[in-house]
Amino acid sequence: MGNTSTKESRGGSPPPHHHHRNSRSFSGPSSSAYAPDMERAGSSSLRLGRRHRGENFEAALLGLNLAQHRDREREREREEGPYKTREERRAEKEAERRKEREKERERSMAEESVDGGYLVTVGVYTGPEDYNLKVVRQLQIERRLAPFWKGIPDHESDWTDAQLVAAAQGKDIPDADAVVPPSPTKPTNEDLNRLTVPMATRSRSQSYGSDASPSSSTGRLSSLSLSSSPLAGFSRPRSKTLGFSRSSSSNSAPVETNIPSRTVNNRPIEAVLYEKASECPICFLYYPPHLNRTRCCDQPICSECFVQIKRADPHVPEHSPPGSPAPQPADQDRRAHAGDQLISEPASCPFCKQPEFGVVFTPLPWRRGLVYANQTHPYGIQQQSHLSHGSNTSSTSSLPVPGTPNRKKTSYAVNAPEVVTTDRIRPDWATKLAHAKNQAARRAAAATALHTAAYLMHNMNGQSGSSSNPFSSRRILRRMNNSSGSMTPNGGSGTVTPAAASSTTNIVPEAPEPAPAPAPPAVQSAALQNVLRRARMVDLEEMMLMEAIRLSLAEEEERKRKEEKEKKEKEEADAEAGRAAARLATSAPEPSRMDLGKGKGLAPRVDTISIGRRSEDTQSSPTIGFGTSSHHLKIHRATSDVSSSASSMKEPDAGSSDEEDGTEPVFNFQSLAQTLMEAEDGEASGNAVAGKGKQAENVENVAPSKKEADAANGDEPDTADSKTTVTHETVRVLGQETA
Amino acid sequence: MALPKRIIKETERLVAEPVPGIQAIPHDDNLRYFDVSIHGPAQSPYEGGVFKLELFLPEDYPMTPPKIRFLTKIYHPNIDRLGRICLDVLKANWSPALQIRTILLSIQALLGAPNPDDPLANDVAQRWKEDEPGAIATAREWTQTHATP
Repeated sequence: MGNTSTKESRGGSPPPHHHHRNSRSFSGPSSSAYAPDMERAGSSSLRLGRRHRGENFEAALLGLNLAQHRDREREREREEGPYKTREERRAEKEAERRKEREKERERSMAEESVDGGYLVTVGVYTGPEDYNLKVVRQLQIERRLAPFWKGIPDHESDWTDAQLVAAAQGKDIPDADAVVPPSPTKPTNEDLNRLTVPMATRSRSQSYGSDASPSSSTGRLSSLSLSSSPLAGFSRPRSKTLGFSRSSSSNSAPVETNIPSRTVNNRPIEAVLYEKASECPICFLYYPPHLNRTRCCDQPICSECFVQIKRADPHVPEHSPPGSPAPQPADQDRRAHAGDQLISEPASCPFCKQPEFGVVFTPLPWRRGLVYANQTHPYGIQQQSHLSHGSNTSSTSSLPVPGTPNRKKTSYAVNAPEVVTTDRIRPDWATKLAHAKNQAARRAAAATALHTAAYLMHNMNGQSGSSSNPFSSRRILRRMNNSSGSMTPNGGSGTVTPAAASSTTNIVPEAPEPAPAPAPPAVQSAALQNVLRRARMVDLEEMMLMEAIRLSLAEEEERKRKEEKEKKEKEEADAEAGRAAARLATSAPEPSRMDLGKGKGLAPRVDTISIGRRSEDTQSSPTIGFGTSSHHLKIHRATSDVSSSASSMKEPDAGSSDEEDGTEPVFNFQSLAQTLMEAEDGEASGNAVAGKGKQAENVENVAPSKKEADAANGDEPDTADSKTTVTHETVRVLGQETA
Repeated sequence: MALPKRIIKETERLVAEPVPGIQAIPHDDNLRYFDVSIHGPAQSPYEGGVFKLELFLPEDYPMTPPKIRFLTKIYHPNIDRLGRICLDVLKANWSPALQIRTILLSIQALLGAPNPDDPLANDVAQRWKEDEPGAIATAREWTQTHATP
């Protein structure tokens, strides 16, 4: 941005007084007095001046770039400067998030349950819940991961139901002879029989209603509700159905249904669950014996602990790699970012240290709370059918199977369908790793940025001094621009529309530039490193590019010459007609300017200006459509440098036209028409000056050469540049007026 | 902040079933902070010494390892002058299934088996490699000087 604007300010937007003066000189002297000087200028001094300007421009670009670079650094510093406020903001956000999560947790604990457990952590760990809540929730409803059962601090094997219930609810343990508060005196075998029958899916609001008035449900439902109503006194309210859509927007989300009963075989669910509680070896709390089991060593681990286990933060590999690290997706990452060493290894089993920790949950033989009515996961379906089987048998045997039933396997492969890995509940580990890598890269690159910049500077000085290649240093710069991201739309080439670039071969010198630098919008300092790396290839690349440019220019010239020939004949007639107007224009410029927009009058008028450098006109003409002066500058420079052949071809032409004032308009008119032809890409150009907007643009394009000629004339050599642009301005204004 | 049940239980068990040669007593005002003493293992240059350590259970213990440091000066290739210990289970190889008890046992084992190939105190490790008897003598000396009650 800064780049472009500065370029423009340099070449494009002239100070007002210049404008004035220029317009005066523009209209003041008669064209006949002008012409010979202009010719001279066009051939030699003008080009010199242009080259000189080009270098200036280059230097300015370089300076700009560095300045810009510094600016950006500073900006970043500024951004990072107020560490506190940012931290504070983050803390605030975090607090807010926590509060919300707390609310959500309360709600979920009050309304949702899975087999007597919860779908939210119950507070064994106080750190942030950085696992994927949705994934865990789904896994738990699918019975692929144990629900968050409440861990009880103590447990005695001879506790009565009432004691178990109290313990599970976090109450004081009553005496052994105490009874379960609202004793489940209404044995309802039916509810067990129906447990496996998926309930009709209900929306959340409906579930509220059904909770308040069981009769509103179906007959089956009401029977279930009845069976559970005695437990209403429990501190934990009966679970309610919750639309899965609450936090998840996944369209294929399975439908959740609820089995609200809180009894199993006429016993309170807590009593059944915690009767043979086992201790989680990590949090030392007692849980129902149906805990997750590690896939590798079959150790129990509660879900609350499981969700705490994760990859270590991205780090540099240890000098001594841990034994038998299995190949992992991180390896690819590592390779992709050759150079930065950060890795992230999957968590290993806390018990046996086997890498890629995962657990397996063997579901309970019965179901309570939320289930998916339409389980989509094949594994889940298989399990469900298996389960419904089990629940039937268990209901007849009237005792839940304690412990882990039918556990044949003791270890599972990490990719076994039953296994839930830590990466699975933290799918963002790759992103985190990438982020850490980026940060590391940024830091490292920032450290070398200055060094690199210095190196570059040095290099470029040497290069531009020694090599005759006018592009080399600029192209490096351009690369820097390119790779430093969208902040710096690089000069002209970046803004050239593909169509324009392809239709006008003159832009070739610019066009290839975006190609060799497909730099990611990465950090600029990283880009600098790239520049370094590429610097080696630059020479060869330059040669190839130059060759391509030369070829294309030659081709273009060829084409133009042909076109011109054809047109010459065609336009001879038109020109005849226009000559009268041309006369008018040259003898009385002021009125002719009024004519500018009126088609015929324009052509000769303009041509008198552009006499000096026809070739220049044709060269610059393709810039139509994005005629900011910066483009002109560049293209002028490029073409004048490269297409010496082109200009030499044209110059005799121009010279001859200048010699006789009378015939001049004819030739010039030709060139203008040709210009327009090009712009319109083969559109009929008998009345070349048809489009008003185009005229104005043409005037723009043509104007500089005149001014340069003017400068070369010795008038005001110092202000040649500004004058040129001033003329632009003038003519553009005129064009706009007329348009 | 309520103390996690795990810490309470671990402490209780440490008191109830103490490990021979190892003692860990929590501070009254900070139950996460322990005064530890470890007896130098037999047949080691540290035999006869009682080494004092401090142990702190961070907020996210047991998901992160406890922080342990020797308070008693000790001449050991894996323990530096500040008493920091180079032990894998205290760092990358920590597992939440480990406990205070097991980690202290590991440290005791480290005293019995110095590992100069993964040193923390470079000078000591160097000496251990080049002149093991001399190094052991120094260790014994230090034990006499600093670790004998």
